[in-house]
Amino acid sequence: MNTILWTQNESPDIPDTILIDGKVCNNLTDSQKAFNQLNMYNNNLTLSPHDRDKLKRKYETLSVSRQLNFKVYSRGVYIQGCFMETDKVGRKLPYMFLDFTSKSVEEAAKTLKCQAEKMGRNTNQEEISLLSSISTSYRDKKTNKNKYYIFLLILLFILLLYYGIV
Amino acid sequence: MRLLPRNIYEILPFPMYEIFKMFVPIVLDVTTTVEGKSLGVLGMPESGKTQLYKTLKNEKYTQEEATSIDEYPQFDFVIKGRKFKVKSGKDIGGGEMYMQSYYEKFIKEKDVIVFVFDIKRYLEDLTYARKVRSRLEFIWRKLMEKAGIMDYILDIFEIKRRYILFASHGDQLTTEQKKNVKSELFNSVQGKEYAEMFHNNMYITDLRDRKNCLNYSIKQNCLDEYDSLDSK
Repeated sequence: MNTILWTQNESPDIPDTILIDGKVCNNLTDSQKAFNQLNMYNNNLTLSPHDRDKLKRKYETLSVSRQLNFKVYSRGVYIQGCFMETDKVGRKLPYMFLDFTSKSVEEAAKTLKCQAEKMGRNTNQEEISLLSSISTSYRDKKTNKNKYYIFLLILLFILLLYYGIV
Repeated sequence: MRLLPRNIYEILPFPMYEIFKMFVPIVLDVTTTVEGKSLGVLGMPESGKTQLYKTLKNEKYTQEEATSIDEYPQFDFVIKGRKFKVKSGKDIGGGEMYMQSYYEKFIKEKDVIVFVFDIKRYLEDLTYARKVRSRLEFIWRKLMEKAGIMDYILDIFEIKRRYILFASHGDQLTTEQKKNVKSELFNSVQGKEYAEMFHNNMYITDLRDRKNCLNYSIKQNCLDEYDSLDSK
């Protein structure tokens, strides 16, 4: 299993749709297994509720989904948000997407877009670009933090060496 | 056949029960923690689960998007000079798939279980009503599996219950429906074990009505008061 995409349908009477590796899964047991797996990856996501509130206020004009979130794992990327399409009461349809083949949000977003189109759904491109830029800034922050720790370690090592010798 | 007493007066005759009831909340208050309670809101699709969270948090809810998974931070609310705290958690959707993934987990881990369903659809749509009952039966079974002797005692003494049922969209009922709603509901679950949930802990309401929602939530003593503003 490389990718899992879950989405709700237009009516609550129609069961939710699960796409496994880009194909609609009609087997209830497999769908449930895939859904359970999705739910194993949506804990402690990158954006906290506070971050999302800030985002929503900052990008009010982009109509950012209140559920927009992501997490990059060592093996795969998880993204959640809303499609442009709405259900019969006018609410945007949510999705959860897990991609084990991608290493970045940008890559995963491309796959998500392709798979969504197969179902006749469209991702909010402004929202996706926003997510990509946030993930890049998080990645940069992480890299800078790592560089800082490495620098500190080297400094400590040099100091130890210096005083050890003296 | 029910081996355990249904009515408390079968165990403690009047006024023993009333006296007992006065003392138990005092003991419970002493043991209450200040961390707040965790809330697990389960329910049917489009029933108003997110609306309920927003109502409790006193936030404006615009019906812009359906819910998949939405984490919310810890929050407080004040009612009648009493302050309550709700732990952070997850707002989940109402689809069938959530049942297997989350219902058992929530019943096991959360302090209070809230089930929300649309009362108008329940009365008008047989399939919907059947689905509600099937979910309630599942919840009841799991609650009973987890219940200890203390839960049972607190429940029959009507002191502290772990679950609340919100029959939402109560404002959309016709006058005729409003007149018969309770009897229709009770008839639909007659003879079922989980019928107790309907009898004891169900509130028909409009989930936008904050005062009612808060009153109902604390009426069951489900949520712990951690700070009395009156005493300040």
